[in-house]
Amino acid sequence: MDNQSIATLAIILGIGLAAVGPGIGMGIATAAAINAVARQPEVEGKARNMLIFGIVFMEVLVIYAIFAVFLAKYLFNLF
Amino acid sequence: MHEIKVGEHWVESIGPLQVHMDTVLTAWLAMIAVIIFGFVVTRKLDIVPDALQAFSETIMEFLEGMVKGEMGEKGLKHAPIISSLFLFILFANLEGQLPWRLYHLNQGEFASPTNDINTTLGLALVVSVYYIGAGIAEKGLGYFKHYFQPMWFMFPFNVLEDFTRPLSLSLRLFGNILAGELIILILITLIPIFAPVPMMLFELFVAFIQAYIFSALATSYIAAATAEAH
Repeated sequence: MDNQSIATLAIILGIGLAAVGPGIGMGIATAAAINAVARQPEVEGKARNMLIFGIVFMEVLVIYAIFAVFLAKYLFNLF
Repeated sequence: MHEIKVGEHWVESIGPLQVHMDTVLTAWLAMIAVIIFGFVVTRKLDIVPDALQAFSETIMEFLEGMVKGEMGEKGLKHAPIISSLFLFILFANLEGQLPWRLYHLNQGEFASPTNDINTTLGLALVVSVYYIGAGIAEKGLGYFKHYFQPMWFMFPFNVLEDFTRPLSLSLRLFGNILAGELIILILITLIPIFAPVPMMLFELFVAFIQAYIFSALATSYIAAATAEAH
């Protein structure tokens, strides 16, 4: 493989790996929110708000990875 | 068949500036949409609201409720900027789902203005200037005391927070909208007919969520800056 294809592969793997951690985190957070609502249905609105806030901070990690990829594209002129 | 290009814009030089014309034009369109919306829904206000007035009142009550929930009654003076941010980002995001692809530019193409990092960074900087200004207006120079709380050695982290807030705000909005457009573009390239439609509908939902997230985070930053010190 030449350098170009190694770099492309690295970028694809990078986004995939970056999505793993937040994916697991979002699963745990959503499960906790569902448990909370099942236990105490009247906190649904509050639980949804907290869930959205929590998920937003996890999601931004993947977005940093996407941004890093675009940055790499411009800086090193890849693909 | 479309070529997949990321972050290409229609660049014009105006004097010493490099201007992304497509972003500017679509941002103007979003502003015009907000102004027309604001103008239309405030005509013929009545005690018994018609459908349009009821709709706009629902939006305003939702936003004011969000501000009140964070800051209480006295925070309502910050409601106008939060509402403007929400409406502008909402219209800007929804605009991306108009059939822009029928019209071809030589360079780049029309899309949401929020798929340009310059727009989102501008909005995020407005928020960070506003919450520092609101904190100083509320507490005077005492606002800067919070940099040394809870301990003096937390100072570098508190300063760093002022920089990471606009960074994460802008990148979140930009990344979400750009990723959505990329996925639609890839689907169009693979299967041009019907396959991208569910994704486009999902993007309408994402437009609301992102506008809500941006304004909710702006509210909580302003609330943290204006809160009473302990």
